[in-house]
Order: sequence, then structure tokens, then C-alpha cells
Amino acid sequence: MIRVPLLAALLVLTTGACGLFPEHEEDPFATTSGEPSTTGGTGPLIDPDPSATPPAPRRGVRGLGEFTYDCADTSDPGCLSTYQNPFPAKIAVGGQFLLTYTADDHSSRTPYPASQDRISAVGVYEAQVPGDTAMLVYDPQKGGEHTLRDFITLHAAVPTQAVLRRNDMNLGALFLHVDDEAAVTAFTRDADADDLAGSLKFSFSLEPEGPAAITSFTAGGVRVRAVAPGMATLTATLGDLSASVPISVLATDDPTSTSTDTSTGTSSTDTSTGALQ
Amino acid sequence: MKRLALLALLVPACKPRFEELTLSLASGPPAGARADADEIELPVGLAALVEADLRSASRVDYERGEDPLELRSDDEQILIVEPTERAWEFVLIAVAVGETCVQVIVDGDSETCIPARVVAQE
Repeated sequence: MIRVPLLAALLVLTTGACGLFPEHEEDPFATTSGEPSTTGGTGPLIDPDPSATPPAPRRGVRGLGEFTYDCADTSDPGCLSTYQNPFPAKIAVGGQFLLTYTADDHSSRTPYPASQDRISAVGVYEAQVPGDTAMLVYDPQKGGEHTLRDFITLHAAVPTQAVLRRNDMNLGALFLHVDDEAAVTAFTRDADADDLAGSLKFSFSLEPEGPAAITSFTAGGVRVRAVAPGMATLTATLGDLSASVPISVLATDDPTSTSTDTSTGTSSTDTSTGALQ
Repeated sequence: MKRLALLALLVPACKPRFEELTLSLASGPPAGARADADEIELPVGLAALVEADLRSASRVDYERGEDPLELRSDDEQILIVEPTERAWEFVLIAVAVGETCVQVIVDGDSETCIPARVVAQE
């Protein structure tokens, strides 16, 4: 078991926050996401499952319609938010995603990558290499001809850092009372510390067993339940990348307020600008 | 007979005659993109919107929408030139690193060829 002194756990473990999925200082939906919800006033704190909200669309270079990024599954941090993120600036190499185009006359088109060596398109799109790739949309013409209607450029980057997040906030340390449940998600950043969109398959582990347990795999992460007072460590792994967070489980009658839960961003030790590593 | 001969002399003067093509990248081109009458260069994987213009050597100018202009890549494994619904507007698509040439076809006649290079992304 990894024991982390309380004061040390309260330290904000930070890297520069930036990027694609900005953490939100004020949560207009605080009762549903910014704070863990409760099962009834004095009951345990139970996080809601992370909300999935497709990012804002982006107009094509020719301005004849909009490209809409959507998530291939519920593990894409580009969509895992109560808030509508901006159109992803960067997608993880290996990350899967969906992309559609809606012309201004409301008709739909399928975007095609300029090179399938760069972004493959088999059912879902998957970034294959770092760098920029144009996504092209065509209009059919009479006689089987076609003209290029619109396009955008997507940027892919290699993930170099894994980060854990809870309730739209980066997670530095997790404090739970017995019977509390936290929904923790994982995502990646590149060498510039920019958040990366795209579905990636993290694996999660929690050690030691006893103080806390993974009760289910939720959208893009896990649901952790506090079982008994003690310390545990939750780790998310993606290939060579991993991120861990210490979990302190407090007795139900422990006076330590959940406001010291740095993941909620409500205390003076707010880790909303922090990350792991 | 004299009138017919005179008419025959005048007809060619009523048509534009190719002198030069100009290419210009639309605003906000991708980094590393370059397109003009002398050379096209584009990093692989990217697309760039270009607008063409034609200069006539005769006293009659080319008219957008009237005089057909086609740009055609010699090697579409390297570079594709796609027309748009707007006359004389094209999208260059860099498919693979390499060199090719873009044929400039005006009114069905191949007038010149612009060297084109697709380069690796930095």
C-alpha cells in the first residue's frame, strides 16, 4: 500500500493547464457535475457518470458547411464533458473518432482523408501519424463527375502524457469518505501539454484492494467506491504511458471535509490547474 | 469571296490566346504551401485552395465561366487537383511525397505544365 501523508496529498500536483478541453473555474451546472451529487442530502457523495457532449462544429475552409467531430465511443475526452468543448485542435495518434459534414442546405456528406496513410477511414477514423491531414468533402455531379465542396485540416499528435480527471477537473489527489463514489476519466496530452482528442483504450488498476474498489467502467474511465479508511492508488495505463492518483479514504465521521477533495476544485488546494506526472 | 477571306482573318482575333496562368493561394493556406505559375509545393497530407487567372496574348481577354480551364496532375498518386463548383477555382491535395507536373488545359488545349512537389511535413 502506498501511504501518502495528508499534507503531501494536499499539495497541488500541477503541470500547466492548457488546451483543448479547458478546465472550468466556475461550473454553471455545479449541482450535477462540478460537485459530486449525493444520494440524498446527508448520504454519500456519488459522482454522476461523465456527460458526453460533442464538441462545437467547425466551418470548412470554403465556408459551404460545417464539420462535426463526434466520439467513436464514450472514452473520447473530446466529448467527455458537461460543457461543449471547442472543435478538437489535436487528435491523439491512435485515437479513433467520427467526423461528419453538413452542407448549408442541411444535406450530409462523408469526409475523406487526403491520405489514408495519415488518417485511416474504416468505419471510424483513426489518426495514424502525427501532423496535419486534410479531410475532403465532395459534391456529386452529373455523369459521375464530382467537385470538391469543402475541406478542413485535422492535426494529430503523439500522446506523451496521461492525465486523470474528475468532474471536468484535472485530478491531483482524491479524498473520499466511506461509501462515496468518484467517476475518474483518463486522457492524454502531447509534448506541448495540449489535450488530445480521440478514443484510446486505457486500462485501470487500483491497489491495494481494501480501502477502495473499482465498481464499474464508465465513460472513458472508472467508478471508484470508497470502502474502508486507508490509502490506495488508482493507475490508468495506455501503452508506455500511465497516470496515478493517490486516494485517501476517510471514515464517514472524519471531520475532514470533502472540500479538501482537490478534484472538485472547491477548496483552496484546488487542482483545477493541475495534472499528474 | 473577299468578304469571307476578311471574316476568316478576323475570327482568330475574337478569341483569347493563352499567354500566362497565375495561381494564388486562398487566404489562410496551410503552412509550407506555395502555388504560383512557376511552381507548386505542398506538404503531404494537406489541401490548399487556389484560384487561377488567365492572361490572354490577344486583345480579347479570357472570361471566368466562359472559357474552360482545367488543371490536371500528371501523377495523382502524388498530387490531385480537384475542381470546385466555381470556375477557375481548384483544391490541391498532396497525397504522397514526390514530384509531378500540373497540366494547364485551356479550352481543351494543353498550354503549359507547372512543376509540382509534395514534400514531407516538418
